[in-house]
Amino acid sequence: MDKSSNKSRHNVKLVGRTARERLRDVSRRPPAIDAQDVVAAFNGRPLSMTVGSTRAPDMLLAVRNALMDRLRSTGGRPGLAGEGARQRVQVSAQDWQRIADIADHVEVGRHKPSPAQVASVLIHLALERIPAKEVDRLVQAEQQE
Amino acid sequence: MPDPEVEIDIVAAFGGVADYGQRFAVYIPNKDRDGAAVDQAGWIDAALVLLADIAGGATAMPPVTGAWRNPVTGALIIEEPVVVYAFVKPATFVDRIGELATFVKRMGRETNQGAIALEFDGVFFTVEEFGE
Repeated sequence: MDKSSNKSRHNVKLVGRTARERLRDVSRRPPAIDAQDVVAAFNGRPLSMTVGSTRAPDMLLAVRNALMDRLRSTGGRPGLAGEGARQRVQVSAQDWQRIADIADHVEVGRHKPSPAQVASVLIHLALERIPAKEVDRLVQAEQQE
Repeated sequence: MPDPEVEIDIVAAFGGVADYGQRFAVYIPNKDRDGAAVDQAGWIDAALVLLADIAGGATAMPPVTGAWRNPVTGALIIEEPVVVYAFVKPATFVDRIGELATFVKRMGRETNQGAIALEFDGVFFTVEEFGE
């Protein structure tokens, strides 16, 4: 196989472009049932929450669970377990405020985590969503160049 | 300026039939209101059988992690419910919604729940009164 074509095949770059056209599904669907009628039929209590809503507390629960796993106390304020070094990362004022807000709404036992501890956990959770294979493939492609 | 839209009949493009509409889901608990284990597998099977009978098919997802705070004791119960769902045909679903409500209330009663979580068409709600 031609080496240059092999190289170009692995030279993967992620490029974001603005969509120029959107698809609108016009399939015929059966008539919809009002969700509130279903809630009433079950004598249920609506939680003012829709599935997939960013207001749902799932993410806060995930952050709290991760903090529970990683926070360790040696007598003073609990710190994050692990051997990771402190890194300097630029964060916008808006993002930092959101991180501080999350820290205000999460408690682990009687301890309220610091914004920096929450930021560390958020980075970890975000990285977990990126498949390791994709990152490995990009690194290998760079090394072969 | 908004992006232009292209209309497409997705169902027809795949030669499909759009009989199925909204999604109904029930969360099958693995713990009771005090954190004790319950027979989750048996209730998953029962929910699959009932929903498949009503909707023509049903799916059980892998367990997810959830939390519920017991309003009486204040204890936080971390549990791993299994979501069983089906896309329902409107007429059949309306006809048999009473059976589903009876099933949910029986499960809540017999597994000693504080609440059973349900979803319909993206709306999340709980049933907390299970009757006798």
